[in-house]
Amino acid sequence: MEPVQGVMSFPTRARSEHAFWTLFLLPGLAILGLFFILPLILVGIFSFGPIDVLGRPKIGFTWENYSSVFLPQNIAPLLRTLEFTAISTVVCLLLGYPVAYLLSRYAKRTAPVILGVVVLTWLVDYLVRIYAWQTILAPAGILHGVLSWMGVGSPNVLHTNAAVIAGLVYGYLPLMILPIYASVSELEPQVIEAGKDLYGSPRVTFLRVTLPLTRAGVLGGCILVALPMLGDFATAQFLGGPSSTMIGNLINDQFTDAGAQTVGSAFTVVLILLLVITLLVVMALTRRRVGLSRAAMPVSAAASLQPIGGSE
Amino acid sequence: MSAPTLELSRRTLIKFGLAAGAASILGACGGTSSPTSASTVLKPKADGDITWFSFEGYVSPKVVSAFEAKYGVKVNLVYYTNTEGMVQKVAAGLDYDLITTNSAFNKNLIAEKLLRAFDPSDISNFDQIIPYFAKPPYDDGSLRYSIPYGYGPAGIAYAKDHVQVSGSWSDLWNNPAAKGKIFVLDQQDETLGMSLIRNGASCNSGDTQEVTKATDDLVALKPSLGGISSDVETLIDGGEAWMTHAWAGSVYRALERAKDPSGWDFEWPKEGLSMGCDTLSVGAHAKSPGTALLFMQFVLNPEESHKNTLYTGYSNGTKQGEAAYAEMTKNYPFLALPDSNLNTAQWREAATGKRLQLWNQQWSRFKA
Repeated sequence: MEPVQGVMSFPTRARSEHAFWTLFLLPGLAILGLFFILPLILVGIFSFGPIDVLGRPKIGFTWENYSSVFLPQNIAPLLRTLEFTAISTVVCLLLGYPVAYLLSRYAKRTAPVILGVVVLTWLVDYLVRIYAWQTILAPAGILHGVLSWMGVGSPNVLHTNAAVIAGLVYGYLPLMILPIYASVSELEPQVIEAGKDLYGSPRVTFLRVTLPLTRAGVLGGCILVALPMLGDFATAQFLGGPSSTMIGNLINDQFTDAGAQTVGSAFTVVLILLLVITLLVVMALTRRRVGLSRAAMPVSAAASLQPIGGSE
Repeated sequence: MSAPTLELSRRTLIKFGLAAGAASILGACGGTSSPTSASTVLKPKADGDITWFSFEGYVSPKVVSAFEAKYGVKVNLVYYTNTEGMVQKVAAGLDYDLITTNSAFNKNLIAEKLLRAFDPSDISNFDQIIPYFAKPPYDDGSLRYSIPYGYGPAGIAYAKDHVQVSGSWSDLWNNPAAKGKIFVLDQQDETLGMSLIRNGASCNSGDTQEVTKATDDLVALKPSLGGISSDVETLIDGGEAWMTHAWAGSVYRALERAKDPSGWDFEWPKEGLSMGCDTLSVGAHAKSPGTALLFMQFVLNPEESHKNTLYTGYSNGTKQGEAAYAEMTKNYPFLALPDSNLNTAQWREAATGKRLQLWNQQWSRFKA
C-alpha cells in the first residue's frame, strides 16, 4: 500500500507546489499587463480614433490617421532611421565587443569597477548627456578648441548625420557591452585553449570558437541597442541637421507639437509592427544556428578547427 | 500538467486586462464634465494652498514668496515642458488651481469649460493691463478667463558681419553664403506660420494651396539650413547660427550670456508677425480657485510685475511689465517691439480638424 500511496501523492504535491510558485508570476504579469500591454492596446485603439478640438483621442473609426503615415514623404525618414540604426549598431558592436571581452577575460577584480563606470553614464539623464555633446561639438565648443589648438582645422560636426550616429553610439553602447560581457564570462577558457591547441591562430580561434560561442550575447546586444535606437528622437533633435529627422522625431512631433496623438499612435503601431516582423525574421534566421552552437559547444568548436589541421 | 493552470491565468489576465482597458478608455473618453461651481463667477480670495501648472523657471521666486507671506498660503509648482502637454493634462481634467495657458488654445479650453470665469472688475490690478491685451480675441467676453503673462514674438536674429538683411522674412532665403548657419524654429505653428505670412497669407491658413506653397518654400530653404531648432540660446551662444528665426526673449537671454553681444542684431520682418501669449488662468477643477485668482491679481501689481519681467525675460502685457522690459533690454534696443508691428501681428489659433491634418502632413514633409 505504501509505495502506491507514495506514487499517488507525489504528483498531487508537485501540482500544488507548482500552483504555489505560479502565483509569484501574478504581480509581474499584472504590472506588465497594466503598464505595458494595456497602453499598447490603447495606442492601437487611438490609432483609429478621431480627436476633439483639444486633441483628446475619441473612440471611433477612421483611416485618416494611417493616411498621414502611409505617405511617400515618410519613406526617407524611415530609411534614414534604419541606416542610422544599422551603422550605430555595428559601431557599438565593434567598440563594445573588445571592451566586454577584455573586461571578462583579463580585468579580473577590476571588472566590476569598470562595468560600474560603463553603467554610471546611465545615471545621468539622457537629455543632459545629449546637451553635453552639443557643448562638445558646437563650433565654439571643446572639440573645435582642441582641434584648432592642434592645427587640424575645425570640421563642422554638430548638426550633421555623423553627430547623430556618434550620439546614438554613445547613448546605447552600455547595452551592447553588458550582454556580451555576460556571454564571454560564460565561455570556458579551456575551449579557447583547445582551439589554440588545434593550431588555430588567434584570429581563426576568435572567428571559429569565441565569436560563435558568444553569438547569443552579440545578438542580445544588437537587439537591445537597435530597438531603442529605432524609436530615438532626442539625438536627432539636438545633434542632427535639417535632414536628420528620424521616425521617432515624427512620432514625438505628433505628441508634443502637433497635438495629434492619434496620428502619433498610428505611426507607433506601424513602427511596432515593423519591429516585430524584423525581430521575428532575425530570430528565425539565427535561432537554429545559436541553438546548435550552444548545444554542441566544445565538440563543434573543436570540429570547426578541423580544416586548419589540414584534414579537409 | 502546468499548461491548464497557465492557460487559465493567461485567459483571466486577458479578461482582466480587457476589462481594465475598457474601464480606462471609458474614463478617458467619457468627456470631462465641469464641476457645477465652475459656472459661478469667481472672486479673488484666499481659500487654500494652490498648485500651479507652468513652465519651469517662469516665475520669480521672490514673487512667489512675497505672495505666500502676504496671504499665508503655499504655491506648489508643477512643471510641463510644452504647451501641447499642458493642454492634454488640463483636458484630462486634472485639478490644477492655476495654469499657465496659451492664447492659441484658450478659446478651445474655454469652449470645453476647462477654465474658470471671473469678472475683471473684481480684480484690483486689472487696469494695469495695456490696451493691446485689454480685450484680446482669444478671451474677449465681458467675463474673462485669463490675464496676459508673457509674450515676445519671433523675428530674425542675425550676426551683422556675416549676413545681409532687408527687414524681410525672405532674408532667411536670400543668404546662401551663410549655408549651414541658418536655422528656423522647430515649431510648426511658428515656422509654417512665418512662411505663410511671408507669402501674404494668414498664419492660421487652412487653404491647401497656401499651406503647400508655404511648405514648398521651407523645403527650398532646407539646403541653406544648419538645422531646425528651438534652442535659440545655444545656437547663438555656441556660435552655430549666423541667422536664426528666434523669439525676442530667447535672444535677450542669449545676448546676456554671450561674451560679445555687439556682433548681433535682430529684425521684426515687415510682412508681419504671428502672435502668441502665455496667459494665466484658473482651472475648472481647481480646489482653491479663489487663491489662484488672487495670485493673478497679485502678479498684475506693478511692483510684482516689474520683478517678474526682469526674472522671466518676457514682457507681460502690463504697464509696469512693459517698462521693465524696456529697462531690461536697453542695451539691445532692437529687441523692443514697435507698436506698428504689435498692432499688425496675427494671433495664432491652434489647428484642429482638417487644418490640423493638413498642417501635420505638410510639416512632416518639411522635416522629412
